[in-house]
Amino acid sequence: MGHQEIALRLQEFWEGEGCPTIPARGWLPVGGLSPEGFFGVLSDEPFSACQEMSVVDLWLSPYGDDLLHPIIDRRLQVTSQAGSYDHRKRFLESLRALGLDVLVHDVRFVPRSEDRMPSENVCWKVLVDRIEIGSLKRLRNLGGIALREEAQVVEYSLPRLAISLEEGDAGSSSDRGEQCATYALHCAEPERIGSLFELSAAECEGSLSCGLYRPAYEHALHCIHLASLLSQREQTSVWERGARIEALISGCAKAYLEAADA
Amino acid sequence: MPEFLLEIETDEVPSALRQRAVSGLSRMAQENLHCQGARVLHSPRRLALIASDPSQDGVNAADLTTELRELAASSSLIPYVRHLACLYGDQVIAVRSANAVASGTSHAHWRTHGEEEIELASAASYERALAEKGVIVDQGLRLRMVREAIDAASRDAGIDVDVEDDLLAAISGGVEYPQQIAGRVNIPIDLPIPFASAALRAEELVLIARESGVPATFVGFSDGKVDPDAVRANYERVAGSAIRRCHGLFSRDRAAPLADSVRKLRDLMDEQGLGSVWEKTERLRTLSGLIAPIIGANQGVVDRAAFLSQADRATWIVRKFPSLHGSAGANYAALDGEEEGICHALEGRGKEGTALAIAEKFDDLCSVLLEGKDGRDPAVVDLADDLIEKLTSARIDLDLLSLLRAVSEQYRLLASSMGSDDLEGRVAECLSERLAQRLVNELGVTSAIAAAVPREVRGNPYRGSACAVALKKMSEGERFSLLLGSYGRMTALLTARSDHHFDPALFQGDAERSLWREYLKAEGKLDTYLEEIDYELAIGQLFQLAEAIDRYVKDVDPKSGSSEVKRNRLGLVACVVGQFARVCDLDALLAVDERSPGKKRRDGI
Repeated sequence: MGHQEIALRLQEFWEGEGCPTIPARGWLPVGGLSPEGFFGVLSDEPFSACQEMSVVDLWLSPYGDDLLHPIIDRRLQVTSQAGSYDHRKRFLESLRALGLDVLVHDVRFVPRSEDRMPSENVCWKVLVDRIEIGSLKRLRNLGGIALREEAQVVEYSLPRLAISLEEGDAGSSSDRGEQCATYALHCAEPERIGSLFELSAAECEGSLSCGLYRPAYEHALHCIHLASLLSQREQTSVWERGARIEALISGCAKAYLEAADA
Repeated sequence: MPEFLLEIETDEVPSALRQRAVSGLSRMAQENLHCQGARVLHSPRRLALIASDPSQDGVNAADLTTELRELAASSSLIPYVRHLACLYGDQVIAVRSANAVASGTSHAHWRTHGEEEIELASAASYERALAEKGVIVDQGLRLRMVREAIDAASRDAGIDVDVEDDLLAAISGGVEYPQQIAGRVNIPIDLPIPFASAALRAEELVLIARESGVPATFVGFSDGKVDPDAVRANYERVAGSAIRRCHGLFSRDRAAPLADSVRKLRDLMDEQGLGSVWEKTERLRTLSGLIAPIIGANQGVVDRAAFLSQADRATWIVRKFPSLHGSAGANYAALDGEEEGICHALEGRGKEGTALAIAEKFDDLCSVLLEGKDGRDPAVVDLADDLIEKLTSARIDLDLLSLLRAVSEQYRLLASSMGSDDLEGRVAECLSERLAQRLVNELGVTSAIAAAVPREVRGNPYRGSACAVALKKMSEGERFSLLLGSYGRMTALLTARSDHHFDPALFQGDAERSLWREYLKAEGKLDTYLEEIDYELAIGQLFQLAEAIDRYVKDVDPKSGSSEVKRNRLGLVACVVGQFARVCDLDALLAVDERSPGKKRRDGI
């Protein structure tokens, strides 16, 4: 079973659980929520969706590309605000739907503290026989806004799932990933990337001043990506840049809610 | 007396939160249940308090609910709570927390037994009931199971493996029932074994290998029973990936020699926020250069090692695996063809390694104090205790305050940027406090004897310890109280204005001349004994001086005669008291010795 087939089976499973498939997203920096998910969970109506996307994780660059830790990862993100719905059980059922016998394999939910994550949000990475095949998040706060209803975000790494199901080769790496790593470590010019970060942040703030939260959010996602790129070349603290991004994301959330209330 | 059980079932909780909750439950047992012998058990998915003889007043649902709510809030446990169970004897106590109300049931291992409900009969049978359903709730027992499995695998391979306590705690703290999974992994021939071990450690796998270039065994642990043959291939994929990624970092680092990384330290900020790591390197070169001759280390080797000592912090391998700091530098230095002595020093081996290690610890201590942390801060306590232990166990006669004065300019620059001054005072206070604690807790001396260590040697832990140990031994003899009495009579003669000068030509009797002769003898011998750090002989010399003092006090009236004669007599007395002060501060012991005139014993010497 290749990862396309895994994606289809999972989409089928989650559609059965009331999470319809929405159009795929081209790319997303690691740790970001797609715009559809972000504004969806902030809205008045409970939001549920299943979306495929490419996630770029430049923090992995120093190690080089590896299929168990790919720099460009194909993922399926399932977001849902279905009250007391137990996503942990659903996660296991979805693995069973892929043919994984959870009585035989070592499946674990390992708690993860993400940098700067609000304390009311909790996150686990999901391991199958120690391979990190996805994550489960329970969000009560987004962009500094307390959510009306808790959002649960399930994420699967499709290539890693394929490997854990003994369908993939863990040894090979992708040329795309290797190029990304080489660029991040050796080629990206920190001053220019820093200027791009400032420009994107300014564009985000400019869009927000016009009440245009969607383009603002796209610029904020770009800032996340540029910040992780910069961190590969600099050894100084990225705390300040993290705080700036947090403020931009918070601005997007507030602008959305203001527009919704108007 | 019925037993008490409180179980909080949770989703998997981060270990820091769990530790906070464990401390909270222990406190609850003591303060609410007034129960000293309570046990707190924990696994990734539950915390349990078992108390064998709790106070009946403490076992009521309302009070426990209040306590539990506070505990859950203070330990950030609320989002994780799934279920509560609470029993007092066979009676269910309806404690509440978050959205859960306690019942008399628990749940089996979530994966292997599908969270099947378990009826709890009593606190006494709780652990057994859970063990039958795939959960070992006692962290200590899980840790022993993990350690024994690793030991057995090491024995089978004929290799000694030293597994760090924090890795054992992480492995056993991450599972409810550990089952060993063994696998094989290839280690590239050029990858040092400590690097490969660190890479697997990050995946909670233990490498059992002696050399690179050959397939090695590793051991991991699943959570609950699994089919080892079904999961082994994936465990081996994870181990293989970890080694490949580690080798990737190693290859990036080897693109340039270690010494080239030193210049990158200018842009790398010190963890304490005190300037750059480059500045730290410069301080270490100065400090270790001053320490080297004191311990007989090779100055050239120490300087080169100090120059390279922080360079590995700019390498990829240490950025990703910080525990390799030191070992990575030594490995890279060896690969670069640096002298063997330099490589050993970077690993803390040999006299040169000792000089460097003391310099680094002392610099870390000064840095945290400059940062504004006080003497009770755990980071300060750990650093000061390590430093004192290192100096005393290696019997190094080093006055840290003199060392600080010699490099004060480099710290003064930092102090101005940190807005902190009087570093010397803060270091002196911290060392004095920690040395006293060590003397009392580890060497078994009384607090009075710890206080009798002269202020001047409290910055020299080895000398201070030697003084206290000798004082403890000598104070156990009968003659010691006579010595204190003699000293007390002598100091009673002094006034604040007594100066330390006398003219032997003005002496008027044998008692004065006799005390003068003993004083001269003592002065010379004390020079030798203190140089050799032989405080027993030094105190013995004071006994001899005491006899002359007693004759002097009996025969001489310091208040009679001309003012010049009186001043001369007090000058001799002040000089004699000064010899005592070189050895120990007997005033601290006088305050607690009931046998000396006019004093009450408080806690004994």
